[in-house]
Amino acid sequence: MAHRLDGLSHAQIAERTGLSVKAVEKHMSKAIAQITRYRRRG
Amino acid sequence: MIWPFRTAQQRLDDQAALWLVRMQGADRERFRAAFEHWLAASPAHREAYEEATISQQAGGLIEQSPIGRSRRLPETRGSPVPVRYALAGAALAAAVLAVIFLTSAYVPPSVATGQGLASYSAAAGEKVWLDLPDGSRMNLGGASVARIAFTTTERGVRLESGTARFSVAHEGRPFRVFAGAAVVLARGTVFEVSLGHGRTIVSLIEGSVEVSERAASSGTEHPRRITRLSPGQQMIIGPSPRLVDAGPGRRPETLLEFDDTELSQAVAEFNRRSDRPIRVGGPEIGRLRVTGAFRTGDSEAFAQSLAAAFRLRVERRADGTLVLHGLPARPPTP
Repeated sequence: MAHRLDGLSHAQIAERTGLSVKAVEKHMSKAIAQITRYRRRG
Repeated sequence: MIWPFRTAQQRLDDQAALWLVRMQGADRERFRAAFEHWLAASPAHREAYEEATISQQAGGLIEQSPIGRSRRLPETRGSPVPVRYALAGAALAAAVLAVIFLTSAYVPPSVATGQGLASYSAAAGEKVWLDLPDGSRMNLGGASVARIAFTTTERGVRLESGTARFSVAHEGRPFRVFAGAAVVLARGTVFEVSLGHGRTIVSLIEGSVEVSERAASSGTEHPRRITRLSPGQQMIIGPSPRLVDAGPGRRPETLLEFDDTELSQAVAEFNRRSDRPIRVGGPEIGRLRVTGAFRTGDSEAFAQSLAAAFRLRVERRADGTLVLHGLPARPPTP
């Protein structure tokens, strides 16, 4: 959401959250996969 | 936490989502060839990728929802360094480290004495993030110097000056930080070590560490006393060592992650790191499942996020306790 709403880059999100860029991307992809899973179910 | 029963389709969806995110990141050109290869490998890959794209757009609808409006990304507190410098530093650090680890692997290092170790430093006002080869991360504060030595039996870091925060990956080898008169032993945990004014301060953020003192003159470790820290505690090693509880205001902020965790368990874990407890108003609420990363310590924000996600109501009791209730008599959704 920070990526889409605030226009932050992955690296900027990483800096703000104290996570690594890799972890940020993991979280973002998890969120997307979660939505896909939900959509496939319906 | 890894959900153990992932179907092949779910694994594919996970992969597709990761590719989608990666190809929007700064390193996209580096991944381009591998991505194209993956995409061309199977029609199922392409299908999953298209689904991921739709999911990401669907996620954008959250912007208009209460969750989207209630979310707050934590700010790195007290960071005087503009983001671009930190990023340049991190990129540089990654490059430098790659070389350092390749060259240091063959030198029998001695962490205790600091001899034969690869060295890394951050200039004043600089702040760098280093990904260590075991998956651990080191955040080096301004004007800090650390020497790093990983062997087959031990992961060792010697902090020469300044401050370093560590997020230690779980694995068999012990992770030891030597700093002044202190030796900190950790396995999977997040902690910070700071040197200055003749003392060493060890702050535990998450997990558990053991701190021992050693004689400053001889290079070897002579544990006079071993102290085990709990999250939120600080150990100050100096002329008169003492253990203090960092006040709630000074408690380092970190993120707590949940992956399909029962709400009751998530709240219990959150409360363990917070001064203001959250209570679950009923067993049916406790059985809801939570996924996401939340700032520790900010009970109000966590309760509001849960309330927004699950349509709950937050009751604020006089003693500061926050109670999550279900909404009464919700009209059926069309």
